[in-house]
Amino acid sequence: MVEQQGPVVKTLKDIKSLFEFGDEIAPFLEELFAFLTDLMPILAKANHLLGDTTASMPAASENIASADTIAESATHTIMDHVEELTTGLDDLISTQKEAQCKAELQKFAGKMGEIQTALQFQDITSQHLSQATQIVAAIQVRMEKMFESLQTIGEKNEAVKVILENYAADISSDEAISTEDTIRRDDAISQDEIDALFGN
Amino acid sequence: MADKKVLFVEDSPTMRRIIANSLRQVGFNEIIEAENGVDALEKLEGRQVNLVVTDWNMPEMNGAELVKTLREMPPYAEVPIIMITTRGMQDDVITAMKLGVNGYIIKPFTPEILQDKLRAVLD
Repeated sequence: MVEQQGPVVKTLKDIKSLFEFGDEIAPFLEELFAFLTDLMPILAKANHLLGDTTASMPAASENIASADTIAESATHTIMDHVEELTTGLDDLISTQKEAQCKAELQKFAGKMGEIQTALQFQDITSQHLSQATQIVAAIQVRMEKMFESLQTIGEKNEAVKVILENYAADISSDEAISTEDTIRRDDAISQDEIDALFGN
Repeated sequence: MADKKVLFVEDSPTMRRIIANSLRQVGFNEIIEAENGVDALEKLEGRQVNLVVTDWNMPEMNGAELVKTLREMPPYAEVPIIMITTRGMQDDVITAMKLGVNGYIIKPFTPEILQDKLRAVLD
C-alpha cells in the first residue's frame, strides 16, 4: 500500500499532537491513531472526497445498486434468447433424421445449457454487491459519528476548531490512494467435501 | 422424477429462472416457486410436495429458518430438502445438516450436479 500525506492524515497527526498520553494507555492510543492514519486514505479511495463523504457514500451505494439492476436486466435478456434458441434446437433435433447433423445440433443445445449455467454469475455478483453496499453504509454511519464528535470538541477547544477548519479548506479529490490489499478466504469447502459429509 | 412436485425457494429472479429450467430438464413438471421463506410457507398451504429446493440468503425468512420451520411441521418433517447457496464454509454446511437438509449445492453449479444430488436424495 502506498502512503500519501493528505489533509485527513495531516489532520489526524495535528489532533494527536494536542494530547499528552499517560504511559499505560499511550501504546493503545498510538496504535489507534496509526490504524486511523492507514484507514482514512482507503476510505478516500472509496469515495474520493472524504470531506463530502457523508454526501458521497449514498452515491456509492446507489451506483452499486444501479450496476446490479443493469446486470440483472442484461441477464434476463440473454436468458430470453437462450430459451428461444434451445426451443428451436430441440425442435430441429426431433425432426432431424441425419445422425451427424443431429449430433451437431445436440452439441449446440449443450452449449446453450452451459451459457445458462454461466449466467449464475449475476446472482453471485449481486450478493457480493449487496455486501459491499452494507459495508459502505456502515462506514458512512461510523464516519458521521466520528465527525460529530470532533465538531463537538471543536466547539469547546479552539485548537481543534482551527484544525477542522483547515481540514475543510484543504480537502481535495487528490487524497485517493491505490491499494493492492486483498482479503482472500482459503478455507472454503469444496463440493466433494460436502458430498462426503452427506455420505454421497 | 416425472409427476413429482417440488417447492423451489429463491429470492433472485435470475436464479429462479435458471434453477426452474434445470428442474424441468430433469423431469419436474410441477414447480411451486417462492421468493423467500414466508412466501414459501404461504404457497405450500399444507400441500404435499416431494422435494424442497431452497436458497439460504433471502429476505424476511432465510433458507435456514425455512428448513427449521418445515422440519417442525409434521407434513414436511421428512420431505427431502436440498439447499443451493453461495455459502461455501464448512460451518455453513454443518449448520444446514443439523437443521435437517439432505443435500447441499454451492453456486455456481451445473445441471449435472443438480441431477446427481436429486438422485441421491430421492432414490
